[in-house]
Amino acid sequence: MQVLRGFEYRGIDSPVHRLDPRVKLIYSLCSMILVLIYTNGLVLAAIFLTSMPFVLLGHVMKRWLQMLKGLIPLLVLIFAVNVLFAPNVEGMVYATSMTLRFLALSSTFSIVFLTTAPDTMAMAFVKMGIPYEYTLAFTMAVRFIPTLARDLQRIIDAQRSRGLELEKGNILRRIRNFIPILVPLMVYEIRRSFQIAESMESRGFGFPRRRTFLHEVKFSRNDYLVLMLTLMFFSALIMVKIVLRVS
Amino acid sequence: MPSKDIEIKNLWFRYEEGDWVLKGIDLEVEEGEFIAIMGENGAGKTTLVKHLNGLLKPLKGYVKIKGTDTRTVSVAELAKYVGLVFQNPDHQIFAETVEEEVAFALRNFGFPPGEIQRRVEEVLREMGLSKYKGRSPFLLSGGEKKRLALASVLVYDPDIIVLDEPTTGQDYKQKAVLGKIIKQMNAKGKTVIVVTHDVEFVVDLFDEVVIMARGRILARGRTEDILTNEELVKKARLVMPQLAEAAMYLEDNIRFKGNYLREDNFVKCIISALGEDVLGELNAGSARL
Ligand SMILES: Nc1ncnc2c1ncn2[C@@H]1O[C@H](COP(=O)(O)OP(=O)(O)O)[C@@H](O)[C@H]1O
Ligand SMILES: [Mg+2]
Repeated sequence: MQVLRGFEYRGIDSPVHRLDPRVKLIYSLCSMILVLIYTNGLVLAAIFLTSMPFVLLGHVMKRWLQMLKGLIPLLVLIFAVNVLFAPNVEGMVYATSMTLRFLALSSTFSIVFLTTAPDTMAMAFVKMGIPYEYTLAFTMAVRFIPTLARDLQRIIDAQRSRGLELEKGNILRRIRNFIPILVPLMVYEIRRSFQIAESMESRGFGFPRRRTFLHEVKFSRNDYLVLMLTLMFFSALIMVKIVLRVS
Repeated sequence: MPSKDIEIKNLWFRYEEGDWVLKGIDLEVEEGEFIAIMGENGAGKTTLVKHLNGLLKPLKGYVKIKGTDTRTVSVAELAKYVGLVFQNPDHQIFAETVEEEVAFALRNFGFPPGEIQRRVEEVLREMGLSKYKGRSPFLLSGGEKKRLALASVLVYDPDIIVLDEPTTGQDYKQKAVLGKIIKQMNAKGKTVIVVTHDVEFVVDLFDEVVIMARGRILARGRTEDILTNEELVKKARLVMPQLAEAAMYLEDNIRFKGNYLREDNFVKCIISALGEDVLGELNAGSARL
């Protein structure tokens, strides 16, 4: 639940929030590529640290830390599994870099989502030529994450009130324990999605050929600056990879 | 002396984010009491009742159920004594048949199969759901689902029964049925607490109300005193019962006094205020028509 908060947009104003969503997407795409081609711990740590200016200037430190805190169990798991497969020094090093990889990846994506309104993101997608229907599916998914989390909490509360103990029994029993939670959740959300579809259709969704937007996105000086820095960092690291053959 | 079922002392609570939702709640409920908790949306009613079976734990103060601090036992253990029925039955329905849905709590509590069978049949009969026994609970109507949710808690016979907004989305007749059922539970000696902002429902059924607003308990007392207190009702942002409002209007215009929350009393008050001669004239008037 806490992890989700690390991706939830809050409407505050900051230079990072005002950046063009396309710039932020390019930043996270570049980070993603770098993270995937490198296994060197130092480089991965450096990529992870590029999040810091965004986090600080964007005033999203609290949420970002919450997200990291929520990730801890998963990070421990990734580390443990990797060590388990190669229980030696090399394995430890590899496990550390896998964990760092995941950390860096989550961090950059969290920044994009934390500082970009879903609607703004949708506009960027449309500008990049993605059909509006897909874009809308994306914004709605983001928009419904908090609602989903709340429904889930209510369902868990209701079933625990009827004596359900999630932590009880052996592993098979524990998996079975989730049925009374997952079934109402799925039924409820599917029903909700039909209702939304109906109300969208009744408001004429899908009728006009060309859509217009109330606010338009445009590149500013800051956008060019961040884009330039990102591309410089990206190409520098690519060069390092090719020329110095760092793993 | 009757023992205390619920003892809440200086309860403070807030969710991970945001302000205090409950600000020093004190509430004691004795065995067999029948109470309505009222208050506007967001007053903290649901948050309060989630403390009664330990789903939420106090950040300050304490909640004791039958003398046991809720922080010392599991939710499953407390649920045996406190049956909580939430507002939306869709948040709990999952089983393949109505029968299985009702049996869920009994299985969790480890009742023997014969006993489960017997209890399920009995409660389905009481709730008028016997004919749907083998059907999918997802196919029931809104009112039936609500009764199913109630049945799935009543079936294990908890001593304290708490209903959160049981009347929302129910029509007049369904409300009357529901009212009868919860009145019966109380007659059997259960402690019953109902959260609602349905004023007429409270007037019809409850002698005692607790009023909540912004995380505090504003008042607790007899329904006819509390719900006719204009200032209090306004402070809690509730609406007055229609009869009380009509009576207040009459008070301003003719001499009109008394206990007027229920229809029969109201009519008696009108008759005595108007006096016999006015009535005589009225009768003569309607005779001419
Ligand atoms: N799971 C939650 N997380 C955060 N805030 C919540 C949560 N549930 C309720 N709240 C907040 O707590 C306050 C009281 O809510 P609630 O107890 O549901 O009130 P009521 O039942 O009287 O309408 C509201 O301001 C609501 O927004
Ligand atoms: Mg509520």
